[in-house]
Amino acid sequence: MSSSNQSAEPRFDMSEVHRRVALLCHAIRWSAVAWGLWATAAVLMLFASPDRVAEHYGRVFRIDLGHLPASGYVIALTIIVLDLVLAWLIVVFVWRLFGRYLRGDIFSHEAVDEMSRAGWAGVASVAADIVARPLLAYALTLHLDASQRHHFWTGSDDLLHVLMALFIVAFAHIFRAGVEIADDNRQIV
Amino acid sequence: MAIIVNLDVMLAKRKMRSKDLAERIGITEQNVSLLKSGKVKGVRFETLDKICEVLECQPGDILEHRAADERQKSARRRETG
Repeated sequence: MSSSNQSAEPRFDMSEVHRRVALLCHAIRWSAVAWGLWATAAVLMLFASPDRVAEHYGRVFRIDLGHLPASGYVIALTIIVLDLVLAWLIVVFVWRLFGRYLRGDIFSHEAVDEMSRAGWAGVASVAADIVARPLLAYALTLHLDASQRHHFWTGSDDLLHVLMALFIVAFAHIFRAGVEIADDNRQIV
Repeated sequence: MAIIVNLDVMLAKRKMRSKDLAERIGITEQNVSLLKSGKVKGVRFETLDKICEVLECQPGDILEHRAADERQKSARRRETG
């Protein structure tokens, strides 16, 4: 017998897996899109005017930001938009990954790559969020006295989000081993 | 690997087509073809059982172990004609 790249037809019926996860896949895909739209709408509403930004972040920093200069507003908006782009990247990867699952493309290298990309996009997004916040605070308080400048705030949720994203990355590695086993199994008739 | 699949020989002896065997043992013709050419990593006991039943033979009639030097010799014989 010789090893070959040719694969025998799989015996395992993937339609059963598909049936069990189809509803979940649809729910996850649309939840991701809803989350992206929600985040975008929240940013659009918040950044509708510099006064609204000053009012919102004034409450967060517990200081009076007063009249926010245009430069501070533009820098803050740029940071938020960049953060939002990363959030949408997660949405795209999640959409594509669960779209593959819906097409029955579950144990494939392409699906694993997609899962890995979604995980790393999550890690990047959380990391960018952590970095963006002090930058945002700095940009919004630049016109105030140095004593009133807030540079950093974080929460335990950050760690939870990093954990979840890393969990997906780790799961992608485990899944890759599963794909290799499935490849081997396809060559057994 | 030193395992040789002699399924084509058995099919010829029984005057049976791959398509018919595939139908009777419940696997695809593509899988039978891969098995015949030895391009598989393994055969399930279940498949082997069905093949033996249909072709009325023993597993040894289908699978054969050939030592490496023996294979080299037969390859050389083929080359020299």
